[in-house]
Amino acid sequence: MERREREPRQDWRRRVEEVGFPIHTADTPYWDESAFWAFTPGDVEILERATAGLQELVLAAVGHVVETGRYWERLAIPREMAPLVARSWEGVDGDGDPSIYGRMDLAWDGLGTPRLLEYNADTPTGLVEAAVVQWHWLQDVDPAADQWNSIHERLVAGWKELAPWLPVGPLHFASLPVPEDALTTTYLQDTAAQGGLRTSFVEMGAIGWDEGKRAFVDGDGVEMRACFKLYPWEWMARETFGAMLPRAHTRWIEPAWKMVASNKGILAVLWELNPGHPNLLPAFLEPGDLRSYARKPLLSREGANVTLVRDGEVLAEGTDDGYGKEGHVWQALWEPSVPMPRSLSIGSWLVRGVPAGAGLRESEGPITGNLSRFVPHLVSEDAGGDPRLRARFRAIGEGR
Amino acid sequence: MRKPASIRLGLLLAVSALLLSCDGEKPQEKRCVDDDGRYVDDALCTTAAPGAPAADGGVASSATGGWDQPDGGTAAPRSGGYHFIWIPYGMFGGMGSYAPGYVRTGPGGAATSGAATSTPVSRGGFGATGATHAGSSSSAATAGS
Repeated sequence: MERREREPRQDWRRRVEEVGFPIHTADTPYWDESAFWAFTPGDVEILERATAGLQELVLAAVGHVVETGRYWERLAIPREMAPLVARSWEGVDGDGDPSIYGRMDLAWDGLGTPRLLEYNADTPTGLVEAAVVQWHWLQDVDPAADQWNSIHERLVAGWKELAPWLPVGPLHFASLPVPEDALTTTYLQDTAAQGGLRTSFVEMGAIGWDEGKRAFVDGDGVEMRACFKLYPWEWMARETFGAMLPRAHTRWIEPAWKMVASNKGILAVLWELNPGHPNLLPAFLEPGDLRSYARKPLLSREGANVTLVRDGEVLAEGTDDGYGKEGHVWQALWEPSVPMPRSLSIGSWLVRGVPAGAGLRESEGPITGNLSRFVPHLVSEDAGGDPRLRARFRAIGEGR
Repeated sequence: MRKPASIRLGLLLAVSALLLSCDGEKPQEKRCVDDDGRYVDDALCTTAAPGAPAADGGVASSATGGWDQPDGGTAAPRSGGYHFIWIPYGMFGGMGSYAPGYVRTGPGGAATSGAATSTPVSRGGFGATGATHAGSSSSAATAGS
């Protein structure tokens, strides 16, 4: 893998907006095509295998949490949600209620093995950029090249697979009415419609509870029998309607068992069950003996309230968004074995549990936050497998 | 399988266009709602039925997800009719839905749409945490990660 600089397309803002992504710039560009990462097919194979293997480990870890019942308090999952989680885990004849998507954030320098930093299993965003925007970027700049990206096709096919599981009526899509969430949700709604499903959008705040029907209803009073929600389970569980969740028959996507998979405490469960696994970093629910670590709140998002410590000294802190009271996980600090030109987080997307593509985020600092830039990628045979390119890669890093 | 050069999208482009049409300088937007907090045609607020509340409105608080009066007073549930509310920039709402954070218990559905239910419906029991994080984060509120 190799980072390459490239002059942005002259009309990049217009091109990005044309494909449905108007939120390309915050204070600085969020969508950043002044550089891209080139992977070899071999790199992609390594990332794909790691993602698929980690998914198996996560499923086993969720099963362990549900079956032992030992972790609810330690993961700050309300005890009253346990039956709901268990029911969703045992759904569909024991296979578990179906998932449509998720994103594993991996750390990798192209040399060792990719390591799981965290699993955004419940409400991952950055999807439109990964599935759509970077694909159109590739068509403009190098249409003969390839990209690790079958996200869109897999989503459309994935909704078709879910159709037999869905009850009669529209599949609702719910989110906060803020741009990032609304775009992600609308994109998923688009893919579901292309998969042949009847869909309807509702804001989270508009969802109603019909006591007579014992059902959630949309703004028009239509019963919500199935709903994709871009809203975290842990938030839903603690809000006014949380008490109604176990009583309702709504089929939720993502399912309730994702409450366990998306909890950062799962990193400690994974390590407990698979100590020394090459795609995991040591992680614990107590500080333990780690001298260099990332302390992550169990329920934080976008790098908020994360603290990085190296040799006992604070290296970096994420923005304060009030997380941490629920508890933390301590994960060994990952550092590249060769200098990297930028801090890089490889968002490895899964659709229906299968690796489907990548979205890359770059940061100036070591914590990936909500303003970390999205940088596109392509797949090329000459993307750094050659030792001379490796040397060039190192030179870029040393020249920072 | 080689995928096509262009990905077909419809809904996404429509919502994207809606976002692009928002005026970034405007701090909040006035919208007409019915007694259940459902967005309705603004004309209903200017031609409200006799006995309806004055069209002064309240402010949807991004910090609490609740509703405040423009003068800083407390939220005031309405007894009927249509009225304006102010939505902070970023809450671009619409699509026949409810304003975020609106909490009300009472007869569900309104005269503006079909398929209304006949049993009591509570609204606004989801969404408050997102509004809280909107108030504490330096960036736009998002429930995504």
